[in-house]
Amino acid sequence: MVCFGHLLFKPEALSWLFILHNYMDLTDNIVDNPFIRPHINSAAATYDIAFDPEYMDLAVATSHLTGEKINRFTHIQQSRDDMVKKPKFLRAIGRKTGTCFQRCVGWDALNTVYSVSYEIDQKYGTDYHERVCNYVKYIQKNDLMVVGGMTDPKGDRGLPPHKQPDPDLFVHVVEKKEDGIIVRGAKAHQTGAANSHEILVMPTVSLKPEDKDYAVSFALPLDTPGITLIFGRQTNDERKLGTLDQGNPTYGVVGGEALVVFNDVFVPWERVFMLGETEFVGMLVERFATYHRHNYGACKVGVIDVLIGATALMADYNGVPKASHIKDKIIEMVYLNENMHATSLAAGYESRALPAGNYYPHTMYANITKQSITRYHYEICRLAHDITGGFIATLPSEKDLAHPVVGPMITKYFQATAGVPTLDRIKIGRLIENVTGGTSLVESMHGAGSPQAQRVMILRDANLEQLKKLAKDIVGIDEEE
Amino acid sequence: MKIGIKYCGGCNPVIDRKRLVKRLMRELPDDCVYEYFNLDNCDIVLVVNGCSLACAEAPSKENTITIAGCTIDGWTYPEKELADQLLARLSTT
Repeated sequence: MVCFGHLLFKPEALSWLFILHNYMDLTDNIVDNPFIRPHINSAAATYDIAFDPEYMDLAVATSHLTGEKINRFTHIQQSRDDMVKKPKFLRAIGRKTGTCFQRCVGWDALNTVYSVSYEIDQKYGTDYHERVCNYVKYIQKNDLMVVGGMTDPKGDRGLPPHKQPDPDLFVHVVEKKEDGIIVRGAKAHQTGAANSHEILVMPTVSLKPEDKDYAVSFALPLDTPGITLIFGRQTNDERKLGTLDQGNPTYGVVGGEALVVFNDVFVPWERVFMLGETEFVGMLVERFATYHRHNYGACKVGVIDVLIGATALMADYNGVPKASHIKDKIIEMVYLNENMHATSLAAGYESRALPAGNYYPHTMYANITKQSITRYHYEICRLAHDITGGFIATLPSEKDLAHPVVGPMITKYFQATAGVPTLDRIKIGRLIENVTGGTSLVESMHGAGSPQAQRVMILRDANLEQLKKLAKDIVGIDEEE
Repeated sequence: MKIGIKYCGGCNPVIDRKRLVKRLMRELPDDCVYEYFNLDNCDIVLVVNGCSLACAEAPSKENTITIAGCTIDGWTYPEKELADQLLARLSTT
C-alpha cells in the first residue's frame, strides 16, 4: 500500500485548476487556499484512517486481484461481509470528520464499471473488463482517489441527449481515433473533484440507440489537458477566510463540489470502459445509484452522530439536559439516525453477487436508506435547531469576539451555565450551524439521486401484484387463470 | 510481556477504546511491549471491541481476552471498571 496521507495533494498537481470566484488567487498556494484546504483535510482522513490500528479492521481490505492489503476505498466488494463493513467504515469516518470525505463515490464507480464491463464483454466479446481490472489494480496499488463522474448538466430534462439544442450537455464522443477517443461535455456537482487524482466518467440516464455517442465510460487523471474544474460556492463560504465562524474549520462542509468540463479531451483505449452499448446504460446507472444510495445511511449517520453530540452538549451548556422535552427530542434524533443506519446495514446483509463476482446491495433497502436521509436529515436538523435556540442564527462574528471593546460584551452576554466558557458554547453553536446549514442539507437531498428517483425504484421493487394476491388469498378472491 | 492489541473497526463504539488501552499502558509495567500487527507471538492478545457485537476476530482462542463494549469475555462491568478488571487479569498472566 502506498501512503500519501497529507502529502497527497501537491500544489503542482493542481496548477490546472480554474476557480472562478474572487477569493481565489491562482498565484497563491492552492493547497492551502482556505476554500479548498478543509476538503483536502477531509479526504486525507480516508488515508490516515487506514494506518490507525483503531480503525484498520474496517479501513483495510485485501485485493482479490493482487492479494495485497489495500485501502478499502479501492476495494471491489467480494462478500456480504464487505458489504456490511462498508456502511460501518463510512460511519466511522463521518464521526471523525463531521462532513463528507468524498471518497465513496469513486469506490462505487469502480464497483459499478467492474460489474457492467463484465456483462458487456459476455455479449459482445469486448475486452472492457480486462481494462477495468488493470485500472482497478493501478488505483489499488497507488491508493488513488477517484471521482465518480455520473451527473451530466442535462439541459432540457424532457429531451434525450441527441435532441438537446446544445449537444454538449451530456458527455459524448466527438471523434474516434486509432489510439483512443475524443470526448466533450461536462459532469456537474462532482464531489471531491478539486482534490482527487482521477475521474471515472459514466453515463447518467438510460439511453436509446440514437444516443450511442453518449454511451461512454472512461477514466482520466484530472490534470489531463482539456479538463477544467470550476469550483462551487457554498453557504457562508466567505467564513472560510476565518476560523471559528466556519463551525468545522478543519474539515469544512460537504465535499468541495466542482463542475468538471471536458473540452475535446483525449482518452486512450485502455481507459475506455464502454463505447456505444446503449442497452447497458440503464443497468449501469441503476448499479451506481444503488451502490451510492447504500452509503447515505452510513457517512451521513456518522455526521449526524456528531450533530447529536453537539446538540446534547448545547443542552448541557444551556442548563437544560434534564428537561423532558429536550431528552425526548434527542431520543427522536437518535431514533431517526439509527433507522437510517439499520436499513443501510440491511442492504449490506442482503447483498448479492453479480455475474462479475462482486457484491451488490439490496436495491430496496439501499433506496429506502437514501429516501430516508432526504427526509430524516431535515427533521433531525429541525430538532437540533429547536434545542439549540436562535443563538446559532444571530451570533456575532469571530472578529467581534476578538475586539477589545465588544469581545468582552459577547463573552458576558452569551454565557450560559456557570463553568462553561462562552467560547466553547460559541464553537458548538457554530458547529451545529455548519452541520445543519444549506449546503449540507441539499447534499442529503440530491446526492446519489433526487428523492423521486428512489421512489420509482421503491415502487418497482415493491412487487404490488404479489401484495394484491396476498390480500385476495386472505379473503378468498380467486385468481383468474 | 508482549501484549497484542487488536481493535474492531470502531464504527459506533459504546466505550472509549483508546482511553481504555492508554490506561492499561500507563499502569502496566514499563517492560511490557505492545504489538498491533503481528499477533502470533504475543503472550496475550487483547481484542478490543467497541460494542457487544464484537466484530474483531481474535487470532486464536488461546491467551486472548475479549473486550466487547462493557464486557470482558462475556462478563459485564461498568465502563469505569474495565481497566481495573483487565489489569487484574493481566497480572495473573
